[in-house]
Amino acid sequence: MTPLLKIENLSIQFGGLKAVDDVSFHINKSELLGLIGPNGAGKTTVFNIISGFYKADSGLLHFEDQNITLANATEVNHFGLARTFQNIRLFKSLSVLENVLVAAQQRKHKGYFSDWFSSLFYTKTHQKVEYNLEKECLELLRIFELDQFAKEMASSLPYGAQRKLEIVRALATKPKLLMLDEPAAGMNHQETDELNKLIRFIKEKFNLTILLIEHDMKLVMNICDRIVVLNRGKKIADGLPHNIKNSTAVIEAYLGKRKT
Amino acid sequence: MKKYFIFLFLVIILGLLLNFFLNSYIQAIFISFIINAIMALSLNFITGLADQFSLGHAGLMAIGAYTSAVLNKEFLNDNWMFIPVGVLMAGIVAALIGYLISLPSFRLKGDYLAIVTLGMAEIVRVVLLNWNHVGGPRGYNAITKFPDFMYAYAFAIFLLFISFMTMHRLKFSWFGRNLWAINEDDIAAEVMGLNVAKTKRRAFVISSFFAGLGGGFYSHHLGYISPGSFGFIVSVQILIVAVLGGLGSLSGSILAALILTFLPEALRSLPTGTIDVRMIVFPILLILMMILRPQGLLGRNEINLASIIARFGK
Repeated sequence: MTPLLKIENLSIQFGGLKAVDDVSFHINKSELLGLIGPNGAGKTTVFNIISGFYKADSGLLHFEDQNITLANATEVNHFGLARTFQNIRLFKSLSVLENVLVAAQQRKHKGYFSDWFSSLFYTKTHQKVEYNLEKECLELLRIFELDQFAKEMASSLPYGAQRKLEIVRALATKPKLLMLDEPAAGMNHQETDELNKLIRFIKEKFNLTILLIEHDMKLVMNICDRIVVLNRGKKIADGLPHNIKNSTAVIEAYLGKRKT
Repeated sequence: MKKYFIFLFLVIILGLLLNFFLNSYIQAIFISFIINAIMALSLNFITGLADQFSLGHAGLMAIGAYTSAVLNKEFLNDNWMFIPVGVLMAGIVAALIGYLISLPSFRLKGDYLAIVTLGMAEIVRVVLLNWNHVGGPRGYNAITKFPDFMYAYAFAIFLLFISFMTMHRLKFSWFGRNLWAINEDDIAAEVMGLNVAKTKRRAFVISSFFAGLGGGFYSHHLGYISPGSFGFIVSVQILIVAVLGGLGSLSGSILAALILTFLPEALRSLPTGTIDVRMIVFPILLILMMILRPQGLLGRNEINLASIIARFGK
């Protein structure tokens, strides 16, 4: 089976700092891959390269046999990758429903002449498209029990719900690969447990492949099928959770070398 | 449909009142109010909705004004019947120029974009200043005017209605949501698969079109234009109207245009002489309004005419 996303020899340099140095890994279809590493290991940089914000100095990205190395953030989304952010980036003063609508409508309204015409003259087809779009988004919100807040401002939601909404918004673009950047950041134990359930649920329900960056080891070890560990821009381990747990390279990266 | 008839009815009443009971001074101010409103609406579409700060609307207005004036006088027999054609062309030409400007400048954001658009407006002004065929610094004179106030009034209302309705519909459509998304967080918008640069460009072209319409009508209203009528200060005045009405509120722009056109005129009754009191009172009023309502008169909301009518209908 060919992997869904294949990353080959990815490198990027900021000034003299090699933030990502010759990293290769792949994600199989319907796999939940964890990407971990100590602070400054280059996890988010890898994320930003995949999602099109940075251009890699060298290396290749393949998504479903398409080369997406040079795609920008918008194009990457059209290929079927959606991501969330470490620091939540919602459209704060739009309503919860509108947040999801913005994401969902990109597939429906591509800005053709008919889109303009129908929205200017408020035609029957336009009303129907809008109605269906809204229904679809409300449906999605209902799955995540956010529909009761649909008309409320996104910034008025509690922290956990904002995280959830960001994930819902990413899902509204109908991705094949969902990339979560530290979804548990700033959450307490109870919320992390809920997140754990949520991620499993999303994976089952939408048959998604998920790439997860996380600091919370308990969460990562719990839900990931496979884990890739980065340290100082290099990949140091790649394997099943219990192998990673016992890998000396990983323990050294996190805790330092044992003095003997 | 009913609300449009009520609107038309009110417009006709207002027109008749203006025509028969008020002098040409008030009538002229009323037309200026409509031009200000169109300009503020057009700026609000790009600055209020999409949060792209433009200081170049005077330039677009100048393009519209000169296009319509020259077209009417030299190609359309100087006939007032063709003013709408000239004004429409003014909008189209301004939109084209707006598109050309948007190609390089919408890589920038915020203050940088403001500087680029400001530069564009100055280029337009200086080109017109040195273009002898359209009068250069002397300006362009004896532009076709409407023969009677009622014609001008009807056309003005028509323009305002079209501008407002178009932008209002767009604001509450998919396009408006895209603009809000860019306004709130352009990085997140990009990740959602929204082509941010293209959307901003489209918004700027639409905004330019209406700025051109406003400018075109301006030339036929005054009958005389010169490069001096489209200086930096005009861009700022348009911005003041849009900000006071509330960035993102289209009906707010119209309301603010009404206030800011009539208020300075109303203040003319204040004593003048060694100190022109008007020039002190007007800025103080502006400052007060911004202190009391920093988000503008209406913020991002719209006046809902239907609900107001429903309330009075009871």
